[in-house]
Amino acid sequence: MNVSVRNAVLGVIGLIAIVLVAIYLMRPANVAKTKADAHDDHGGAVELSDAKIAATGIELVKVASGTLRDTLALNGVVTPNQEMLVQVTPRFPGVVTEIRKRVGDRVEKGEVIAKIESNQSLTVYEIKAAISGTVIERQVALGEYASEQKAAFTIADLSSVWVDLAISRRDLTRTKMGDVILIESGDGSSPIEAKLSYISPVSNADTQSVLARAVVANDPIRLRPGLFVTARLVLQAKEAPLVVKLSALQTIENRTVVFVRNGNKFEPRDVELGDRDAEHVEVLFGLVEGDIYAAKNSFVIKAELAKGSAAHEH
Amino acid sequence: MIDRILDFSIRQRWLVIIVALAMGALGAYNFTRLPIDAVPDITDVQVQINATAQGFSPLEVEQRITFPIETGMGGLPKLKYTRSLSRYGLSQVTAVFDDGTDIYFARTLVNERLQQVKDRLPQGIELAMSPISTGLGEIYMYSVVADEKNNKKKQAATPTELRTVHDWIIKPQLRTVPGVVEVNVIGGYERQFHVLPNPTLLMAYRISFREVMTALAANNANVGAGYIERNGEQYLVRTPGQVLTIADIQNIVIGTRKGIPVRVSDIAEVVEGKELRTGAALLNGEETVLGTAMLLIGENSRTVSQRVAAKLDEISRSLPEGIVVQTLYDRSKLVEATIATVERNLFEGAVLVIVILFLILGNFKAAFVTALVIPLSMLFTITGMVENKVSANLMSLGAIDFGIIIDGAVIIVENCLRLLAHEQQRRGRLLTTEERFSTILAGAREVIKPSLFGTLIIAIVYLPVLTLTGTEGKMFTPMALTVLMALLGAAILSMTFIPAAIALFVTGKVTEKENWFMRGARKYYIPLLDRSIASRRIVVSLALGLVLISGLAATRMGGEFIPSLDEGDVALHAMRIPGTSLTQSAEMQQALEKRLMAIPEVLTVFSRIGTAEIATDVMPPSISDTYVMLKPRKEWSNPRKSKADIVLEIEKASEEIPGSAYELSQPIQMRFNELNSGVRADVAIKIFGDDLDVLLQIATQVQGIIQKVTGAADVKTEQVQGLPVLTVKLNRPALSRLGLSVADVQAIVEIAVGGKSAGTVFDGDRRFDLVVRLPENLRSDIDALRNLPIPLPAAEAQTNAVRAAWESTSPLAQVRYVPLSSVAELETAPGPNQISRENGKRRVVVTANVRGRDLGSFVTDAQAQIAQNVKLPAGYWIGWGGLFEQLVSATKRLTIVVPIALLLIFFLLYMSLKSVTDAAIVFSGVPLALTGGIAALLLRGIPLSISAGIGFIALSGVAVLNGLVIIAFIQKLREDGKSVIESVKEGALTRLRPVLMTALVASLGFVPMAIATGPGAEVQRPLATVVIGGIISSTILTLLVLPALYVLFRRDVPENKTLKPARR
Repeated sequence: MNVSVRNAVLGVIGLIAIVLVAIYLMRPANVAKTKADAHDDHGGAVELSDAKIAATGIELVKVASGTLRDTLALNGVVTPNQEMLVQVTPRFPGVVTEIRKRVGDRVEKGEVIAKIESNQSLTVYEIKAAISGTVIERQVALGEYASEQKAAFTIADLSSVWVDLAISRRDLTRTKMGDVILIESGDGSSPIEAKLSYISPVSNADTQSVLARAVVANDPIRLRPGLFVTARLVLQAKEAPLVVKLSALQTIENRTVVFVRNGNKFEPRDVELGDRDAEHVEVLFGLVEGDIYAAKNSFVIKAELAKGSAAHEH
Repeated sequence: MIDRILDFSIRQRWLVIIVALAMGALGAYNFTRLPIDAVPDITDVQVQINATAQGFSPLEVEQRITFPIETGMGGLPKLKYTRSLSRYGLSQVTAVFDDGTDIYFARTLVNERLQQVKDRLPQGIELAMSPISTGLGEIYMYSVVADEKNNKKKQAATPTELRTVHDWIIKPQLRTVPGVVEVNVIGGYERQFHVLPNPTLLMAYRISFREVMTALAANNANVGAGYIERNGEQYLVRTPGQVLTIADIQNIVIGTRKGIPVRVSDIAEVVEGKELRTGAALLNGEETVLGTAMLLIGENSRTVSQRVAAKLDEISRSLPEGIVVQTLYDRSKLVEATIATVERNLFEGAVLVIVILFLILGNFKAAFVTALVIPLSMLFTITGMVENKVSANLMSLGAIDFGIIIDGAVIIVENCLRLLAHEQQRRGRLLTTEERFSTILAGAREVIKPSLFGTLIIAIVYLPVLTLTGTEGKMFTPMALTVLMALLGAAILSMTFIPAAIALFVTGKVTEKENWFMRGARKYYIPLLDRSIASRRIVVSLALGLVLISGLAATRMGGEFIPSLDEGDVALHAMRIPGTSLTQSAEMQQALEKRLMAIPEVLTVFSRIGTAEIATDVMPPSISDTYVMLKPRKEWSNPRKSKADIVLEIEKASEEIPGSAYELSQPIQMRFNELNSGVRADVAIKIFGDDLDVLLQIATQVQGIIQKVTGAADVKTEQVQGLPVLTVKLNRPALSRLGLSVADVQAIVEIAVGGKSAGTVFDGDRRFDLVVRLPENLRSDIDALRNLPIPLPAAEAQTNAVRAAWESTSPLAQVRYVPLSSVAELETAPGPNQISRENGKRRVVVTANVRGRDLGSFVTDAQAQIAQNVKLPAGYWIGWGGLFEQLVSATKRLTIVVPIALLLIFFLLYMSLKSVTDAAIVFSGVPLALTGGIAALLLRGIPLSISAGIGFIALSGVAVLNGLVIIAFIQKLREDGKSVIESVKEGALTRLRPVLMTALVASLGFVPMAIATGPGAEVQRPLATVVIGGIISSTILTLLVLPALYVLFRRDVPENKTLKPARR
């Protein structure tokens, strides 16, 4: 009796011990996952040592005043200066008896360019150039019948041409008479500078754009009427009290921020922005002069700030 | 039955030997067929369907591609579940099948369904099934690099050139290597021809984009026109029209204006450009082209990677000057290291066994015969593995303990020798053959039953391991199977081969002259045994106390469930926030790699950023897989430095590079994680539903609740949002006023940003895309996009007053366009980063780990709280998953199976001993043996793990075996009429030799493993430690406590032969 009880107890102890060990082994693995969350959530600061800044190529710049020079890209076409364009029309219908100038010929004011025998008087009269310029069109040929209904010659003074530009509705408010434009002639040489001399008071219904015009000196001829050109309109330079580099801007949760250095930390500062050009942007609110901000590679800071949430799910 | 086998083996000894050798030869042959890899394959049976849709955002991908494919997979036979991921431009649907499903069967089913689905997908979608490979598939990685030293040309090859060389010289050849199923590539740029039309010029010529595309398509084809006959000959007619060069493209005529042809060159620039790529690769911080050869399922990774290496060597000779192939990762190295480990263990184990046996038995032939069982049972196991499709790896081979396996054989050999010596001594002469045979038969017969029982018991303790499923099952089932096969082999051999070999080889004089070892042992043992029997109560209570203490100690030890196998190299997952651009990611990666290269032990660092050509892993550009290859140990400044130290160093170094979160693992491990579902946290709460915003809102709520549950750690919500999306919101009224259609504007935005394919340029075999795209300055940033000119339809003859404002003659009136900003609003906002689905429903996962609390109660608690506090809208539900599921089911299963196994062992003992008390006494050896194992682990500071558990299992078997041998002998002595104390003493003394032998063989055989540092050491070290420690304690206990126990519980009862029924 005694023996069997002890036997049973012993057997049970053995069983229990094994089962315990087995169960213990099946416990969840407590893999060390003690990586402390070194960063606060969004809006918090992120600590970066100077060495890390150097390693990642973050550029630190002071907030300061600056001049913004923005440009608008515009498409345009070269047309003859309509004020320097004359269509020479015969006064009396008749037969052309002599032609002195061809298309492309240079004429002086008052120079005879053709002769016509009038049908009415049967006398030959001269047609003279009204202005000095170049013959750009000739509608008549020798022996042909010319009438007062139709221009026989078109003479244009190409020493100045118009560049007609289309300005879209959006950019209209930023454009003023007298603004400087730089015209790319497309011949590889430097852009031609001109000023806007006319902005049409009415607009084109099709394209919802407005015509702006610059009178461009063209001697020697670099711009030929009919050519399409692109032009950059230099918006008036603006002195801004505070500017930051565009590359400093980052978006966190739909808010635009600039990372400002504070001790060995970077803080995201919400900013309100004003005008901008190709490199800089004006800061209306959020920064003060002398703040040091991350100008280049600022994305790294954003990434560091939010990296806790970066994960690779499948 | 067993007697007859023994008898037969001894009589037909030659036949038995020949059969055994033939079996060995078969094993050797099968060894060449055995799939060998470093680690067990834990990939699910899965088929991935990748669809690429250029330019589709995650939402569109999900709606138009993922959904039809996923629903199309519904109801497939043997389908376990489907999951999907929709990212920018990529859809990946994974159909996971039940374990054991034939992969080709599964793929056929999937393919069949895909054919049905195809019609419902948008045009231009590329559908592909993932390569027939597993997580072990990436066996060979190489990079194509510009070799500056041997380059006579001044310019180094550009990334585009490298990529072209890879795609058209290397890849086609590598794909023909048998066993390679796919060659994947990432990095560099695919060569493309770009036509960059100037919109202003297009408008000036009044040419639309569509006309440009049509013209390009219409002027780039060869046409065969049949044949003509002439003088009996047949002439084929062909009219080649394909463009070959940039000049050809430039000369394509789009139309005529006033008799002057307008050529492509008039309105556009034609250049060789770069694709808009989805992935990049870096090598030591430099751009590179990274190729990966993928292994076909079931192929031998070592032979295939050797073949790949040979082929690459061959290819490298035909590469253009200045370009070389550099091998970065070669699986065969790891496999060879694995084989070397196993071989070394085999060899050292055998040598040690022979030495010990010789030392104790004093008979070299017998020792040799016993040691032969090791290779023979090994070869038997290999045959079994091939037949059962179990692959050889560190896990399956690492747990084989030859000492334990040959225990049965050792006992038989020892007994036969003892009897032979006795017999010789008794007769005073050499035995005749017949006498020898009968002695051997008697000797074998005497111990064969306990030995077989012992083996059977060891086998039974492995059974619970076989019931594991999932990842644990895939890891440990092969291990248990291998051990079982080895045991079976050893059992068969000890029944047949051992008696036959002894009969054949152990001739001549067999002395039982006690050698110094046994004499010494006996000298110390006798007084100890006497004292132990005398003070048996104290001994037993001491032993009980030890068991309790070690049990307590065990509960305080750290544990790890699945061991991580050292692959020798390190993989690093660098994760940046969603929306990080490829260029930015590459820059940050570059800094990381430069930093890692500064670690002296690092040989090379290379990485994949984003998605490769074949999307085996759908990674966004913000994530990179980094591989850190270490130099061979010999080249380290301190070759004894542990891998863990290096890993720590790498971790520290990477933390210095800000902007990324890092996750360290190993190459193969990383690939497994990518393939098997990503949820690797303890608890995963999956929220299913339709609306992403609602899902996210619920997830936030759930996260808040879980964070407050005690024990919660690392609570995270899946990153589904946060991809910056620029939305071009078209203003329909504005469009209609201008006579534009939505499609017109969409097409222009598409051409402007992404470009549109307009055909292919052929260059021999090589083919390159011809893409129409807007010039860089018009598409580079948001402002440029705002100014994107949208051409208007040709003007109608208007009689509008306003028209007067434009001189009717002004050609500007023809240039009719509006900027994009006037017909659309451009908005940037974070959009969905990825959309995951499971079983056909969107889901967001909240994950948590549990610390300082048991999983079960945590989950119950969390479930109750969530049920109480989270109100789910109709159509939303919550599912629970994660590791805890597996753990809970494994624990449940084991709590049932382990007691059953133990009962079974007890039953076997009872069967063998015919006495409950004796069975219980033998059984008591098990907890006693475990104490030593636990003590050894504590001493070495190794946590409890499955491999330690396997060690305990093996240990229980050995302990039971030893106890059984002693108790059986004592029983026999008592049957002969001796008193309890007398028979205990005699039995223990007689059995001292075999017990010491098995103990020494098993423990010393493990010493090399216990101190090993090579590959596989992390599996073997705990196992070996447990066995060594346990066997020391078990031997002491078997020799001292067991007799004490026996004396304590057994009295000299005259009728003790009749069995008493067990009383409770």
